[in-house]
Amino acid sequence: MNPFLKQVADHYMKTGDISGRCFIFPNRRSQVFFKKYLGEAVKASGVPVVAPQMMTINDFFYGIAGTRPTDRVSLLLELHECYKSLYPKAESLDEFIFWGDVILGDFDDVDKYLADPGQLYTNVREFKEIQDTYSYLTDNQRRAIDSFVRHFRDSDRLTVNLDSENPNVKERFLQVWNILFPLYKDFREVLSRKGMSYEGMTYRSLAERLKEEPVADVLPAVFGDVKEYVFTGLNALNECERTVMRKMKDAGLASFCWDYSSKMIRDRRNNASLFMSRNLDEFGQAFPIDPDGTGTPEISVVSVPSSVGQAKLLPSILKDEDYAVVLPDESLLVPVLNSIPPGIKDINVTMGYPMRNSSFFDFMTLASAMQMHLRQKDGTWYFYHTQVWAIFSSGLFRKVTEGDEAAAGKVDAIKKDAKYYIPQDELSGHPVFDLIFRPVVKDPKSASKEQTKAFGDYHKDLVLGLSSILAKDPGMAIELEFARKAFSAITLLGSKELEILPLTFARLLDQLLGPVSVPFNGEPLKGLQIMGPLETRALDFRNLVILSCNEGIFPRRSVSSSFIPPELRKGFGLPTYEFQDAIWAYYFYRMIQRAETVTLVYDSRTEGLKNGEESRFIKQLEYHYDLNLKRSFVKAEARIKDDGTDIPKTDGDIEKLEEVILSASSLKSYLDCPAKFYFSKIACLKEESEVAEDLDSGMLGDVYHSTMQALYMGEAAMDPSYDMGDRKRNASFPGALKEITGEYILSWMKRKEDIKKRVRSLILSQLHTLEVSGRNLVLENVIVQYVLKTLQRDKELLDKLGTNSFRIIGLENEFRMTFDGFRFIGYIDRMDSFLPGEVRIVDYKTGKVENNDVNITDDNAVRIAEALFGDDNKKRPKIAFQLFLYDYLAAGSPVTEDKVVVNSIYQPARLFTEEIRNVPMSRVFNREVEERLHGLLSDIKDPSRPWKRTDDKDTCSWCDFKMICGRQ
Amino acid sequence: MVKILKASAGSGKTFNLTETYIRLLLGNEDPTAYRHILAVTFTNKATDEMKSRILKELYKLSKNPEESDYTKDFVPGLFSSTEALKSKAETILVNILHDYGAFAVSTIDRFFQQTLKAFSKEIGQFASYQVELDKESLVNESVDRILDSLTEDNKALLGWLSDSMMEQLEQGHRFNLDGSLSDMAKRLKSDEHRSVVEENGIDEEAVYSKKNLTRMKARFREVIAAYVTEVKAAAKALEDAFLQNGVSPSDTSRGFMAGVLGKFEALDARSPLPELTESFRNKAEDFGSWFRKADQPRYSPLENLLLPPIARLVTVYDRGLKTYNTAKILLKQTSDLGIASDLSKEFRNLLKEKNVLSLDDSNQILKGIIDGSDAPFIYEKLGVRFEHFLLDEFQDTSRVQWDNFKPLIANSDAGNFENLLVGDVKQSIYRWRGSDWKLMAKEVGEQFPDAVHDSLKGNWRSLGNIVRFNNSFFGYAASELDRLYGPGAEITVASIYGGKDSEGQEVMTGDSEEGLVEAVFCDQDKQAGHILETINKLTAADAKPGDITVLVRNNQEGSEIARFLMDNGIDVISDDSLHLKSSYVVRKLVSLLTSVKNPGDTIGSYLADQAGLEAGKVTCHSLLDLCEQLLRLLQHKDGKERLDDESLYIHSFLDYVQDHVAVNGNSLDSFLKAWKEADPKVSSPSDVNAVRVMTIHKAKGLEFPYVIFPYSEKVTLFRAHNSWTVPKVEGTPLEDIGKAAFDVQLSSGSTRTLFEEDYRQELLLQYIDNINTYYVALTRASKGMTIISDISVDSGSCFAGILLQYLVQEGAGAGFSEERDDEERVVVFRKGEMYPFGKLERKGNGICRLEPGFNSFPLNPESGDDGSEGQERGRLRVSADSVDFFTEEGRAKAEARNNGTVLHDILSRVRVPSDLGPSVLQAVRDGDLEPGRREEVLDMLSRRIASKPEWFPAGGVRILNETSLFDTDGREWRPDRVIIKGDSVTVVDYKFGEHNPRYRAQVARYAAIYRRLGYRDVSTAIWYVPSDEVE
Repeated sequence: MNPFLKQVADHYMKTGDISGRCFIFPNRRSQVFFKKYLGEAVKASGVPVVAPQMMTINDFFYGIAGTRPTDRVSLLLELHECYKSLYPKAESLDEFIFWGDVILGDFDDVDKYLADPGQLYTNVREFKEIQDTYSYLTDNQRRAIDSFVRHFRDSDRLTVNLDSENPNVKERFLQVWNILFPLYKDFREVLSRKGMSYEGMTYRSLAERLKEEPVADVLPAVFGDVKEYVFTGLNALNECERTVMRKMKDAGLASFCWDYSSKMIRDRRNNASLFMSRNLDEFGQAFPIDPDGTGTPEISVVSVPSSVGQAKLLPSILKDEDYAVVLPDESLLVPVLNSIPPGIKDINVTMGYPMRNSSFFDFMTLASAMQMHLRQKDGTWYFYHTQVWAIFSSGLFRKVTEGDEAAAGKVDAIKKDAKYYIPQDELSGHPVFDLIFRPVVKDPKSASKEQTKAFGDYHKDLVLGLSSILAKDPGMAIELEFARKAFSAITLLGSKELEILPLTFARLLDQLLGPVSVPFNGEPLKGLQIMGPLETRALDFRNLVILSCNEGIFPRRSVSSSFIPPELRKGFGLPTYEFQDAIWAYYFYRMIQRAETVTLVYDSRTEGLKNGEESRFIKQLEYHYDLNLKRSFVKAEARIKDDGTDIPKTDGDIEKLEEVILSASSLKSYLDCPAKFYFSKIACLKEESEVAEDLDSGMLGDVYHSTMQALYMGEAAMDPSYDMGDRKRNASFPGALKEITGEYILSWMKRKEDIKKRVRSLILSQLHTLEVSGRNLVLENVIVQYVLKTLQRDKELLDKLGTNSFRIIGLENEFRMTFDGFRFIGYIDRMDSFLPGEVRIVDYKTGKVENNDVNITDDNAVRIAEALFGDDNKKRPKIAFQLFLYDYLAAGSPVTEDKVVVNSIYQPARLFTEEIRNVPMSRVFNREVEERLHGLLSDIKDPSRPWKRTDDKDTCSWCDFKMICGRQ
Repeated sequence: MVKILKASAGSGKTFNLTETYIRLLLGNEDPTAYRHILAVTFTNKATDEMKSRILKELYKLSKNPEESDYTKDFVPGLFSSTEALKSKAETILVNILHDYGAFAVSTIDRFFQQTLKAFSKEIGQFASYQVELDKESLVNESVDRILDSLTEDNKALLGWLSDSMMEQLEQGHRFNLDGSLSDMAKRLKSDEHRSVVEENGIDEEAVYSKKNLTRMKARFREVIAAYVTEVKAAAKALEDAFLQNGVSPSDTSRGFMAGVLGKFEALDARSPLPELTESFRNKAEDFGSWFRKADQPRYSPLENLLLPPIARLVTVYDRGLKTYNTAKILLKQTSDLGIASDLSKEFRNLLKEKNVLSLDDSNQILKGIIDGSDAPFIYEKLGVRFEHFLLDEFQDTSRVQWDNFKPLIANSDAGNFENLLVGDVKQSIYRWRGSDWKLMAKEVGEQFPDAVHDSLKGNWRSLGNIVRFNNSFFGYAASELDRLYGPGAEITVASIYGGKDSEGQEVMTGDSEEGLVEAVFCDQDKQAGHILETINKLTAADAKPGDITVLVRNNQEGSEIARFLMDNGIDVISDDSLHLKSSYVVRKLVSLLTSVKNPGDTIGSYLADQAGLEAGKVTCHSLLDLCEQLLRLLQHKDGKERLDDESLYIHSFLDYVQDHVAVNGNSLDSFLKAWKEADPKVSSPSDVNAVRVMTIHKAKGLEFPYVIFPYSEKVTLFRAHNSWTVPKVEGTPLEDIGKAAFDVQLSSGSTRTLFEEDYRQELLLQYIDNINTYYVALTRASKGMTIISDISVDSGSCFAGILLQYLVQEGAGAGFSEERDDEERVVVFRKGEMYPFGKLERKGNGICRLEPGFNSFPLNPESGDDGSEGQERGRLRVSADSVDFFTEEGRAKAEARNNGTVLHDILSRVRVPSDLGPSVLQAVRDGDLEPGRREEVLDMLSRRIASKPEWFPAGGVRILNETSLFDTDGREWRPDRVIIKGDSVTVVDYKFGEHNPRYRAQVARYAAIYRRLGYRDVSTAIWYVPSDEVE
């Protein structure tokens, strides 16, 4: 294989006086390789040389123009200003960013292809009047304009109302269309006044300048004494480039090295050759390249039903380092970098590492978001938990606090508290925390210059502060590259002194940073080459692997956004999709023309919007060039070695059982699924404490329980400031009520607002938050209604029993006992007595309870006990165990001595339709359960019984441990 | 011209479509005619297949026309010779291949999206908007936001929600705010709702305003109360009649009258209405049965006194019943509907904010464009002008899709171009997604009265036994359904399927084998065993696993069967059935990620801890990097084999991560949150060597050698179903609620409401949905099939029941044998023999299979141990520039260094002194230099430059700025500035940091090269610019 650039280098080394030439390349990368070949040629010749000038075509143009392109954001800001003054319905800057790019792109094309903007942006309204002045239009242009205008005019009449207040599709289109020409003019005028320009504007003005000034005078002033400019490896040229090159050629200053060697690329029917004939005809080939032609590579096609899976095939494709891996989809870079077999010692990546894929970018985004959700209350600034927690778990934060115990301590403390809003003082007192957690955006709705500046400075400080820590770790070089780019972007944005909303600032920054990618400025000439398709320009590799050979990705589907309808683009010679296709086709056929092996890999998935379609290039090779493609695909076997076997019971587990305190619910969980019992009670696994945003059903129950408890404890407990969370204190509550009278209940039923206050304070403490909002407001109302209804039903019960008061025996009392060596605990919501000689065990249930569970009688006792201990989780009564346990616990207590014990389940939701019913304790049931319980407990202790997993999948669907359990 | 082609299963639909497409190409003089033909398919996969098929056929026609089945259609029809055909085909083929973007074979959605994109500005979307497929999550998020943003100030909404919640509680419903609202929200945002609203011209905003809903509620309550009062009064009157005549209602036989009257007495607006049962009614008319035999004579004189009031009760009861029931149903849901207006507002905001468009809504938006515009303008914006339209699977087109196509096709029809609509009503199984087969069955023909109708008669897919069985069975089943439905059907099932005696399809395979049809009826829990047994029989007959497909009703069932088969050692591939979360490695990896995120989460960390893995020390480049790193940890611990086995799962997981990151960024926190909710599945590879498990819906359009269809009894005849319905209130007390759509459950009970008609209609549509589902399942097989069903089925509720009835009644006549094992409770009906799969022609194609495996290698395995210094270690060398930019000495030093780099850059752009200004400006524009420092830097550098006129002359010398030298060892050197004046050379290097003796060797090397280049007078200088010292 004789690479194209080597042929060029060798040729000009042979020709002599290479130092006096200037080589112009499509990109910087070809320059690097060219130098390599040049070095080799110098080595062969034995005489040192001063290198020729070398530059990219873009540098060449800007070199002559003596300017630099203005950055995109500045251009957009200027464009928006002009747009606003022309278009009364102009969008805000925020929204305009999206359209501004499209308009800029159009203007760029118009200029680069030297189209006449006045004609192109035909004013439909004035079309008739100006039509005559279009006499010098080409036929194509005339046809395009005619067919375009015909959509809006019928003979002489406009068929659309351009000033419509409620425009239809066509009118909406024209309302924008009609200002594009004035916008073009205004914009350019403003730019030239300010010494700014976009690329096309620079190109066009240069092309126009060379009409006046001889190119032979212009160039030496910039590049000094150059004997000849050699344009190397270019393909698609715009009209400005052509104009300049034409002038140079006419002045005898330029020669051209085109890379069109293989038969496939020279095939006129191949789209890849679209530009070839014009280039060769007009500019000629400097010397014969590949005089003996090129061979045909050996081509394989591999299909994989995965995106990442493509990268994972590399180890079986790459035989040594002599490969180039081309990634049309840059998001495969990370997987590729993680899939290169160890035998390959050197890797060079030419494509950038996209900023958007970095944890650095993620961190900056989080910090911005955090600043926009600050809250102030009573002079203290608070941070919203969502972003704070997200920052804690972000890679960058973890990195800069790695091994820092003080930081870890702070994080733990904040997570433990699980506050909804975290006050600033809890987030300060550590350099990294102080850097990140300080209030900057104090008014997110204000577009003040000062705040924008402060916001910008905050970002800058973050970058500098964090980077100085990261700089200590050599593994963080990429992050530091990002940091540096970010720093530049922030500085640039800051320099505009904008008066914008912080949100707009953040979006602009996002727009600036999003597309940035960081190059790996490594040793480019060594090892495995990883690159994007663009970087392959002018380069040749012996072995090529191209991933993502999917239609739509390679070639990329050009959804060119433009305001100029395709018909007009065509008519005026602006690039269309065919043009893009041709460029891609050239990349492809050029890169494979000297290769020996080519492996094309594609993602065959067809889900969602993925089409799984192989690239057109594969189809062309197969059906047009009749090549014998070697096809392969990945075998489908998908086997899981399930660890779904039962968990063995160890001696340690049995020891652990002695410490375990059982409750009704933990026994039920054992019956439902021993593995679940194991995870929670033996392995003691808990879900991470999370900040609760809304009351979950458990919290809702807690609030209701506590409110009911407070009500029957007495007035003082109903004070919103009284802390119901302290069991001990509640137990010795001074002035606890012993008797609840009908009057007492009635008086509270009239104090809805006071109940609400109590409920609210309980909600606030459940949620660790400052205020009740959102759906919690509705839930708050529900709880208040629950409480009122409960009071009402209690009163009704009094009335029904013909008594004026009932006695409180205990509220939320704790009971403990030992049973077969196991310790049990239970809390009885309320024990009371309405009738002498009768004690009620009251249980509040805000969750769902079946009727069957509640009505246990001697008659159905055996059946229910069987169901309780049976295998069917669905049929297992929900609270039967609890009833048994409470009765059992209560039975052992002196307060029930000689008393009839009845159970009463208060389900607040049902209280709306049903009155309170008491169920007498069933002795038969308790005996049945007790008997079976002995067996159950000995099962639990039995070392030969593993911790089995349930067969019932419904149980799994709500299980906390489903993530780690083998069952699915 | 519009041609409507009916194509039953296996009738060569794709063949025909391809033929039409190719004929349009070949028959056109324009060699780029493909640019003007749009072929629309239903799925991405079908698109891909159709494209491949067209290309392959064109290829055959251009190389070996004799091998193509199409040649006879074109020669001599279109071409006089095969040579002419070859050449034209070749030209077109090559044109398409190289103008592939214009090769317009597309799914409906894709084509519409493409159109919509061209109008993004006009519809107020940003050009970069994305299409969101997961509408449900958008709806949920909208509901979430509405509820999240509730404040005490928003009294209207808070009040509404609280009230409706109280109503729910008072009606004894369990309170579930999110659940009921998001269910309603999803239904409100459904296509079905949209089309009902459109069809009936309902003004959503007005109807669903809280004000109007309040008014409606009041009306419903009134109607309910009035009816209750009226019925109670009638009951009371009856009771009074008893009492006035000295009889107690409890004196009636078994006290039946007292029971009924007691219920009426207790009736209020909330309680359920007592039922007047059939037996009560019968009794009511038959006075003789009211009292015990013995008492009869005593009471018989009362007959005339008691019969009128009871008749009146029945009349009153029946007269208002439907309205009352309807009001009760509607009242329940008006509260939920209160969210409608807030929802549409929030939903719109959300779309805008996320810059997405939901796929369903886009059709609607497109309708706005197409309705309000003309076809040529649309084409103009698209950049393509379609003349011909070929629509495949036309029965699956939805109404709104068709509305969007119609103007384009009408335009084409008017221009005399050819259009083809191909479909089969029998295979319409996507009604739940909006498909409307009535378009194909009827309406298109009415819209295009000149359309040509045709149908394909043969079956090229299945062997004789299968075709004949289907012909006979579906004719039977259709008639059976019509009989069940009774009179009054809008369309009969038989008119779609052909009745009992219709001819059906003709067998076209030309194979001497007749194939096998087997129907197994057994107990539910034995069905899985029969699948396995069938697979074993197939293997014995030399079938490859890839020849076998198991069809299932839904993914859940598919999952179970796939797991069952895998557990029995059978290779399975299964779309949508292999859940990522079932992979052990994936779960372990997620556990590791969880423990990285928060070591305090003991559940999350459990698996990691168990494995003894420590995730604490990992780098943080990106989420994907993190996953790879953790996977390597796992691999180290569990062995490579373990990961290799599950590599498909791991790859899919990483794909999921990749997709997530692309949209949501690299936050671990947000990823884990998303993962909790997600249930992604493995995409199956195109391996042919495994048993396929697939839903019937996915299998539509596909063909398999052998099909096993277990649990076929799950295809029921009717299921109660919620539908958006506009109650027919005209002439009832509800009349003034006007036209409004409600989400109502239609079931047999609906006959007692104003939704009776809707129910009957739904019943028919479901019959057709379900027979179609069964039809699709039974027409996939080419060589044989086994249908497995529960043995206890009845023909009134499921298709398996109809099948059993058919086989029992007509099986013998149709050539089925019957084996019955009463003890095992198994019946097997069989027709034909197992196909000898050994004789099946298999395409080898030399396609090779790659072993799946999981490969992950660190980029830079060991740090610094290869003797390299600084950052330069490992395999990938990363630039260290930025490390300088942010040196550890802190900010001050960093800025100083930065300063150096920036100043060096500025100087490197200076050839002549006048370059300095622009160069400094550029540094500012690039963001490298703070604007505030511009003057200072400019000032310092211009003084320095001015002080060195010999290095910065205005002209007369050659300046080489940053120009490389190539030494004879091939190495490149780059002095900062070289001044050449005749024979003398000065080499200057700029330095901005500390003095360093290394620099001297550096410039000495430059000088040496210049000397060897022949310059005699070579001097060097190291210029420490800030201090202006020169060495």
